[in-house]
Amino acid sequence: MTTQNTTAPDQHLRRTPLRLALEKVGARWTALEDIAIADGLGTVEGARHLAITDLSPLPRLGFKGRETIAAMQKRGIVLEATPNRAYRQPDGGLCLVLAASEVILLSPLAGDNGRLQGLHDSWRLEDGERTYPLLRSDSHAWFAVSGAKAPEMFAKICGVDLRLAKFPDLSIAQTSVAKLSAIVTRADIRDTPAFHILADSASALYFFDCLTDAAQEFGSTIACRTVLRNLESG
Amino acid sequence: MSGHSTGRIDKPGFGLLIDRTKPMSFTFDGRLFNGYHGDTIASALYGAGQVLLSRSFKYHRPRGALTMNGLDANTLVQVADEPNVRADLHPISPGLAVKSINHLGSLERDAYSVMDYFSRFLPVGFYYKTFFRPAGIWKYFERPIRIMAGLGTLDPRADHKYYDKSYLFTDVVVIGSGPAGLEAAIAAAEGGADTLLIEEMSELGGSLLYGRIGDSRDAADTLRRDLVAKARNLKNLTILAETVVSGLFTDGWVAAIGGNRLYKIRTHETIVAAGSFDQPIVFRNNDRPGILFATAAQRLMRLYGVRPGNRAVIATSNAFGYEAALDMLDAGGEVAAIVDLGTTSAPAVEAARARGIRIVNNATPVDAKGYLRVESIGVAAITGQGKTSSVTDWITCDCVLISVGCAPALNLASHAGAKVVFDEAIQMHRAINPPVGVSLAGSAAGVWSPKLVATQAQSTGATAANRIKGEPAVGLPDVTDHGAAAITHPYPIFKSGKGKEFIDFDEDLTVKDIINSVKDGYDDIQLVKRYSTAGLGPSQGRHANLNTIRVVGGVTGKPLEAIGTTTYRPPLVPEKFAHMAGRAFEPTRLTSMHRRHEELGAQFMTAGLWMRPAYYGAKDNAARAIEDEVRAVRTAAGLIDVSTLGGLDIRGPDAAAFIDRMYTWAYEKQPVGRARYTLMTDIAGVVIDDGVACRLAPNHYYVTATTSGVDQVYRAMTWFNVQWKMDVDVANVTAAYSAVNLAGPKARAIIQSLATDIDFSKEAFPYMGVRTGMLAGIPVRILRVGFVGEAGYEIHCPAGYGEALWDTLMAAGKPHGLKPFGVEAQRILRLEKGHIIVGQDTDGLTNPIEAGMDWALAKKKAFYVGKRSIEMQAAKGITRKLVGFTVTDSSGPVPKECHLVIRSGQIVGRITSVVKSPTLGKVVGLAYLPLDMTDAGQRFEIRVDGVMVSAEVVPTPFYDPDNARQEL
Repeated sequence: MTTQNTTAPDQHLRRTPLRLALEKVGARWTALEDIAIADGLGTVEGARHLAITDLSPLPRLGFKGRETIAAMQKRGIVLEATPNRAYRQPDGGLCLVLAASEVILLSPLAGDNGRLQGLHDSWRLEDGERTYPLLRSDSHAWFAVSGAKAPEMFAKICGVDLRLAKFPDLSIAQTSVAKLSAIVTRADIRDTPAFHILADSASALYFFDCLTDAAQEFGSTIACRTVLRNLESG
Repeated sequence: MSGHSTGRIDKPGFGLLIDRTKPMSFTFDGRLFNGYHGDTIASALYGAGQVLLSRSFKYHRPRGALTMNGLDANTLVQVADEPNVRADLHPISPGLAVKSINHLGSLERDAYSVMDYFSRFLPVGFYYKTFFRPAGIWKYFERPIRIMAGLGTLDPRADHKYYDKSYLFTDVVVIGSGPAGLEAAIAAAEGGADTLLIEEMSELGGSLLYGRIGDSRDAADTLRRDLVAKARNLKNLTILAETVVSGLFTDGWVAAIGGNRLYKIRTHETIVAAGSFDQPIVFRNNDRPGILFATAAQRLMRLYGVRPGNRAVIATSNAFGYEAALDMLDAGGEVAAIVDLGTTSAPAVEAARARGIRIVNNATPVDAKGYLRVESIGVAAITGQGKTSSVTDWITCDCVLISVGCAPALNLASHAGAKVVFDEAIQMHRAINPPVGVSLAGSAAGVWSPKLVATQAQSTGATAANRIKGEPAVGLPDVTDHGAAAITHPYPIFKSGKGKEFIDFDEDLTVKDIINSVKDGYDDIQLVKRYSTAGLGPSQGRHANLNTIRVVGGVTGKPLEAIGTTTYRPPLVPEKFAHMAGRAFEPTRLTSMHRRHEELGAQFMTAGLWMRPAYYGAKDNAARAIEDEVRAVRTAAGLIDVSTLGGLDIRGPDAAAFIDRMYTWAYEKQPVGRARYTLMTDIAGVVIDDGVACRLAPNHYYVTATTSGVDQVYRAMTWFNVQWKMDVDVANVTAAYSAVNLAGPKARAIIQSLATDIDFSKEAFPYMGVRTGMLAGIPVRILRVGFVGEAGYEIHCPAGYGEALWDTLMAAGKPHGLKPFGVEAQRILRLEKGHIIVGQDTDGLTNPIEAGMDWALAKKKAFYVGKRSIEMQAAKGITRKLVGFTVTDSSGPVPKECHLVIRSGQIVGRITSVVKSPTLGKVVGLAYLPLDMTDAGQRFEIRVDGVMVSAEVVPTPFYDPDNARQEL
């Protein structure tokens, strides 16, 4: 269950690797399950132009193995066996199909009420299902880059053509961004272009610096989940 | 000298780029000058009457602007700490400090100009013939030559500046925004293609910015405005101004530089509409300041509102020279004469004649007077190819405008693979057979007449758009421009009996130099280039190549078609190393506990991409800090962040069989809840990694690997898994887990003080046991391993909990004297225990037997990676072995890693690890020794910085040989 209490990151057992960087730009913190998520940053207008948001505190979970697609369908996940394609879920989350044998599930911006944790906990090795969960909440930091200027910004740090006309909604690029392996997924928030980036959590601070540096010339802002939710609700 | 704008034109239609309401001051060689916003350094200086800009490379002759387009070396200046700035492109700004270069004393009175009188001692190729005899003479020449050579000055203390790179993606790139480029870009965009138009200047228009159509300036200006407006209204046409393309490569790869940014452009179609390069007349003293290309003069006037002089002589063989004469008159200047190398026929000729300009046909300049600026020009009648009468007339002037032909800008097309051939009909080179996706437009394609330029460029742009859409390519219309034959004079080279006629201004090469190159036997154009250095200077032969080819043709008697050209290589324009480097992307990995290490005063070291605490405390007290950390682990407890260790989840029915194949020991019968040492070898039997395999379930192993080796291990596992087709999944979970090692005699007491569902008693959780559960609310995987030789718990948890785990353990350990320890202490602790580090105590050839790891080789297994190689090596016999040693000479220096073991003057071994053990009070280490030296008690000598130190082979572990402490 999502809670909306003002808190401090150190009061929780799980912590985003970016909390110090976000505190420096004035973040306030809201409790979300067992972690604090940044709040009070950015504006909807800024998010429509160009904004970077740390969504690392939100749940996400991976599954990998030769029977992964069928196993996910069995669990009610909406997806097809089309690599590099994202699928919107009924609850607003995303299923990223990275390969015929691997997916990553992203929580909705509102949180998922423990749904992904439930998927993780209900998986049993002894069932012999050839799909295996992966702790993507821990291995990968999650950034959202939103706004019309996002493709121009990405051009400074990524060799893939992410222009809106060439990289349509729900496309995925598994590529190198700022010399870091990253999964870039376009999943627009209503009519605002939005790119979700999953990258090595241990390099999160480096990556955040690269993003903010690349975005600086466009007059970017640091935003927060609340801003993206406002964008989502129109 | 204060700014005194004698040359400024205060008339409409002049000074397009400057804002006269925004004057600004800057300095040149310490003197104050004024200019306007929009001025370049060169235009502002010219406008203030400062025509002299630099000294030439070899003879230190005075030089002024030549192209006003950044294409020559004459305008290179130093701006603060930046060398070789092109003054004709670099904008002025308030307070800008500009210095001229390459002189001793003042620019006007350069002491090095004496070199001009010693030119007979500096013949072409002199550097191949001099300075080497008599023996040892070079050292006397080297220093003065190094002082005199080069142009600008690099300042090693220069501030770091921000440069970066950016990709751009487009369907069509059009290079150059002259009439051809604009027409092509508009046509491509109107055809539906995403189009990128790249222009070096801040304003679009190319020659339309300053030139004429026929004799009409208004026609050119109107056309420019119309085309620019049309281009700007096209949403799929992106304009990138102040950016220059420096190279074209295969697969539609275009490199371009805009300010401090290197663009890496990917395009399907490239249209080169880069125009052409003016060509000089070669005559005595043709390099005097004030002698410049007619287009340079037009740029000065139209773009910057600067008249190049008060009284001009125009030397031309085409209509463009006459057009420049009209501009000079419109700018309020005087045209003393138009010296026509032939008898040009064009509307501008009639217009010039109508305005009363004196025209001298079939004549050429053959000499110039004046030193720091041209004062008069000697004119003679042309009597044959390269031949003239004696001077018939000296015409007083303060500037000479040259327009005798062009060389199409074919460099970029050539980079891409087009062949460059000489077309005798137009006396210019052409590009033929460009690769698919590359086309040329406008004068770069040999098309000059305005109407034909429009037709040809539009067709080129539309064809590119069609190809993008996958529509069949329509052949381009025949746009052979017969008028192009009237542009370039076939031989504007007039050698005099004495003095210097410059072919290459950058390298101070004269006609005589090129002739002598051929006479010295270098008669191939490629050899001429290298021997004479023609075309090797900053302007890369743009204004020298054609005349060099002409002279070589004249001397060898070969037609120009047969001589060929030198090779055009990227970059087309200067690229800075900073552009190549760009913004550095150097990923750094931080563990989830990094912030806590910082707060504790850790000194960090790199381990691959990771940052790890080396030790905690001040740098000047490192040894003491490390010793304290070691002592804490041995006497109480220590906590080290080992999150950087690799972690791999191996899951599936074949997990045990897979591990059994990947590692040298036996794992299939390993009980659940137990960890076992792992040693990995490659197919050659070389040790490549080690760690532990934890059996968490019958079908689930959690395997650790070394920090630097995990990626290699993961690659090997996935590689073999694909080949073996086993029912197993391999996942690299290194970043998903953080880990600490809690070690020391108090470790159990500390961990037992925390809320947990794990029984930490010795009986329930023995050495090499593995447990999963909750510790203080954190999900954990705990391994009882003993790398440092004490009772210890390696606690792994999801990375998001890492910092909380650290906080919890540090708080729980405080009453027990727990201290954090770093990598340096861990190195000592593990060496005291005799544990090896793969990569430090092994090398790229080490097999397990040499490393003393034969105990980790399963003898009964049918297979593991490297088994066959190891068995062959065992059968053959090893020649060296890793042994423990201690230094027996306590007063001698302490050996270091990689110091050599010497026997009878020969190298027989080396030290891999060594430390002065705080616990044992002596120096201990590991070394590779020949087999006959490995028995305990044997003595050997180590060469330590030239001193021989005695050592003795001892058994390992050095500390706690019965392994009692780690199993407590």
